[in-house]
Amino acid sequence: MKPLALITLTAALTTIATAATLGASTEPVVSLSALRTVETFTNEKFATETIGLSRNVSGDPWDLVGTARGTWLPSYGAIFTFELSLVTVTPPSPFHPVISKEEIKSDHDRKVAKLVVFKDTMRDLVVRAATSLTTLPSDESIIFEAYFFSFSFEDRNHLPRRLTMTANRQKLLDAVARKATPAELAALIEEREE
Amino acid sequence: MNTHSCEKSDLVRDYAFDELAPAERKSLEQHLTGCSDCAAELDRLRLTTAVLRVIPDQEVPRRIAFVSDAPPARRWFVPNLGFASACVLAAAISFSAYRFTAFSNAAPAAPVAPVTQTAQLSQSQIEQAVTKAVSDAVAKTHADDVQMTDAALKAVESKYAQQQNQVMVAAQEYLDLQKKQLHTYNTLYNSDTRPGVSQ
Repeated sequence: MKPLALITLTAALTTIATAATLGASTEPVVSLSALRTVETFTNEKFATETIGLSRNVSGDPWDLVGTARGTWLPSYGAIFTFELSLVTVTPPSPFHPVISKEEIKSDHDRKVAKLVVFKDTMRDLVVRAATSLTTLPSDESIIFEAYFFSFSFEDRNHLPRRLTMTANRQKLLDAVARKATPAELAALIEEREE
Repeated sequence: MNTHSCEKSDLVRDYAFDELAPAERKSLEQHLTGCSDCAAELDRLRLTTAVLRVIPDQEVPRRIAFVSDAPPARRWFVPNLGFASACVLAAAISFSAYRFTAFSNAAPAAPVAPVTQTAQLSQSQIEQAVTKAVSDAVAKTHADDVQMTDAALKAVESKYAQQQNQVMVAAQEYLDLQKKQLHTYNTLYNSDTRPGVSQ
């Protein structure tokens, strides 16, 4: 009788231990809170010009159309995506039904000029995310992806619909540690336009 | 305009223009006292006469002269074609008169009626041909105008439709943009991810 009781007790304890193990919630390596931090400063960077929170708004503000959302893909990296219009464009209306060629060219030129500024800003965000996501494995990547809004009547030549910047977190951290110049940091970030 | 039915309406007109004999004049004056239609007609004629007297008379020009451009300078080395044509015409008339006289002496005169009928028929045909040509030309011009108007109208309509389509597409895109922006603002200001809010 005693061996049977001992076996039964052992099985019960094992079941309880297994259930306790399965029910325990483990924190992801890159927490949602960490991702939210990056989303917040990304939104703040682009939304301040849009909504006018910043007092140093340039004369030709960009327009944040979709807020940043981030996710972490294990063994690959953290990805952040958002949508914006490089400049505000006035669409045709019944009171102004025809957009002239001069207006289209003006909008296009403004966007091309603004794209250069935007790329610098986006590189800063990549570097800042690399230092902010402290729990992200150093061999994984930081990816920022911007979708550009534009009306169908606009001239889209030399203007991407999507811009992706990818960088290895450890390389960025090393560059920041040795106080690399912006040009050196930019060399570590791979850009892809579509 | 004479609109009344009194038989003395013609006398009223002559009376107004002072063309009646004294006896007729006296008789009509008596008639006017009893006929309201003739009295009204006389008033209208007097009014017309008064208006005509107000209009100033235009002096008829005594002489009208048409001045043409100055003739080109005469060049004597060019043959005088006018004189030569006159000579040829005179010779042709003389020859025809001679032939006609000889033909008349040789044979009885040909009946005139068929010639006249032929001439009238030719004139009629010419008039018909001219009328038909004018009608055709007018019809063709009208058809061309209609065609050009239709083409211009279609071009304008096409351009307008294209503009409207562009406006509608842009309006739809702008509406989508507004929805996205509204969602962005709501996300920024109604959640803990809005700018400036630390976690």
